[in-house]
Amino acid sequence: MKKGLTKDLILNHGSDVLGYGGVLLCVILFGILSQGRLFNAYNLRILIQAACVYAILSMGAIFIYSMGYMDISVGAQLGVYSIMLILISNKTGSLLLAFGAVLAISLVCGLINGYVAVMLGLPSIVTSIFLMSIFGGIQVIAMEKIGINSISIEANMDLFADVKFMIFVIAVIAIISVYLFRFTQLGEYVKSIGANETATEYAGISTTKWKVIAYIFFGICVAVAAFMLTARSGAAGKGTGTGYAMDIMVALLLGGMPLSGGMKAKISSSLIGAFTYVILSNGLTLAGVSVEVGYVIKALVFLAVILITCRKKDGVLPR
Amino acid sequence: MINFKKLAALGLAVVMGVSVLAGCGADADSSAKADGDAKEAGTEKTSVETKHHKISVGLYTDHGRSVEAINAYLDGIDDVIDVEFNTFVLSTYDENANLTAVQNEISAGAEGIIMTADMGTEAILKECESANVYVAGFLNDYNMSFYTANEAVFGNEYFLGSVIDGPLDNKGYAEAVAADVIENGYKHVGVATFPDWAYPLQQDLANAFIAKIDEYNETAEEKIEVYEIAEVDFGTGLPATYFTDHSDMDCLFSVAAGASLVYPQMVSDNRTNIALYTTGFEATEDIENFRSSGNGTFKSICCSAPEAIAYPVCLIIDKLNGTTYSDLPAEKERVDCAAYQIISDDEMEQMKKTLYYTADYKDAAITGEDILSMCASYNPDATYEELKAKLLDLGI
Repeated sequence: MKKGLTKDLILNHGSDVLGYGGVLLCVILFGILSQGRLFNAYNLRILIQAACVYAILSMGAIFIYSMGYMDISVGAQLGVYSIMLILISNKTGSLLLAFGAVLAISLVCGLINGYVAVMLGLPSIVTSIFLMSIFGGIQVIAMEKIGINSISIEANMDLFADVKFMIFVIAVIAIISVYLFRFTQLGEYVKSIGANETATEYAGISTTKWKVIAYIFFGICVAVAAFMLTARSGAAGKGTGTGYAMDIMVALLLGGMPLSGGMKAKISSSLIGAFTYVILSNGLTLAGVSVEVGYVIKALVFLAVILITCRKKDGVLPR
Repeated sequence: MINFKKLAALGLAVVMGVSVLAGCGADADSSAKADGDAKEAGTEKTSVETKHHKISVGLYTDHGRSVEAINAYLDGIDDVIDVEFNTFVLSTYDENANLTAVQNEISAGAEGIIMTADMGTEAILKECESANVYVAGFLNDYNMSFYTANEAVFGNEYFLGSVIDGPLDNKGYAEAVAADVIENGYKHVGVATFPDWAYPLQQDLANAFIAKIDEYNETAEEKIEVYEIAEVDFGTGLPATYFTDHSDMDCLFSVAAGASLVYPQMVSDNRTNIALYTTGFEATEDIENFRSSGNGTFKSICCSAPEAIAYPVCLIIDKLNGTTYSDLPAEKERVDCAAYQIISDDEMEQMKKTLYYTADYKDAAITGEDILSMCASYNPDATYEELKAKLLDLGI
């Protein structure tokens, strides 16, 4: 009976065990190796600061990955939005106006990502590659036009860089995400699309509509993440946002999210994954692990998670 | 299949655990080895009573001969000067990544940070100020901060100054290259630099080179043709069309990492017959093909000594010990150091005896003892001007 329960736990809740177990393992392991420094007040503060943007992006991205899709334009979008925030804010003196402009563009991009892919019959990754190229180009051109490597914001963003405000934003986004994911049709249908898109369509559900809504919500999260990113460093440049698309994917995997999407997707994967990802980097530094060994460990963890979370019948990669 | 996957994952997790522990063990081992090395090199602890400190060094990359040399140097001096060094990697494009990396180092106990990249400096200084941690620069002219955030960075009491990568005015190298180009009779010359916004000082070098060639052309019967300046991309290197657009090019002055970002393009275009004068030093193809060696493509290289890190180390140690030079200027400085300007086989032979090339602390031009004697904390007679003068002795 006990053996059967364990087997059931591993087979049916493997990703949950992995997500919660992974973060717990990291906390215990690095707590010991860092001689308790992992838990000091300063370190807890910087963990939250570092995880904030990842957590916000991951909570938006989970709606996309649940469908078995992915968006690799997120890094380039983040970079352009940060630069726009700074330029508009510096020009007008209004942070609100700057954020409003960024939010509007992010909504349009969400629409393009979701709708154009369906209209043209393209895999969503193709439209996200298109957006990545467009935004990457804009980012480079904008910075070369300005003529420096990085621009700073003139407005005082200390309030938004405060860890209490970051916790507040993470909590608000988490509440909205959980509500949408668990208690609305959006959550049900994105998982359903991920499990079997054809069957979902045959059930009379407009997959196009829900895809677009999912991408729009993700767009809002990207805009908020760009705001928090800018608040933290007070600057943006040619390379701001680089690598975030991959970081988000790794964070979700670490949280136990199957890349192929489907009914096993959980919103908790985003938060657990974001914090595991940050604790892993922070813990390796605190434990005195050298840079080279750190790379190897991260790669092994990534591989182990892939092996556990990939679904047997489908491919590992998103559509 | 599932069982195999679980087993494989479990196996990897075990390997991960072992790696973590091995990593920590390796750290301790390397420290122990450094002790041994220091003794072998005849640099046993001096009688000076030192205070233990922990300084983190943020490097702009995690590989290459320069990094190997810096690591070897830090391993060599750590025991002598009683400083525990930890190196980490900085991003040259992401402010937030650098802030996170510095925060992690502070959390790990760093009292001072040496940075080789400028991105995110304002936010980093704000963080360091609140954590009472000092910052100084190395291989870094802090050009962006110097011109766009001077007060916030150079006016911050937690920023101590920076030693740049070679001389602030390195036109002497450009003029020496131009003289060699003229002497060797090259007539079709290309010039390449990194983007102006990233390395404005390099434009000065390119302009000084062109000015020297123009000066020659005023009286020369057969003039030297200089092509338009090509911009070298950090990721993709020299534009692929630069050689095809100038099929008669016989010489190229690349003020931008020639070995890693220009030479590969020359190889793929089968144009290694072009004489390459460049900056940077990888100790790979550039040394195998230097002048009389290999295909002879490389005619010159230019880089600076890893020992220049002594400047930020001394400033941080003194600040942490609460002492200061009697002649330390109130304004934080961007100081320069002499460069290795290698334009002949003889000079390359000298280069092969340096720490940069050998990555062996025994070849260091500034030893741990030298650093102690240059710190005001450990030598009351030490002066800031002597520290700066030492940096100017490092070149070839």
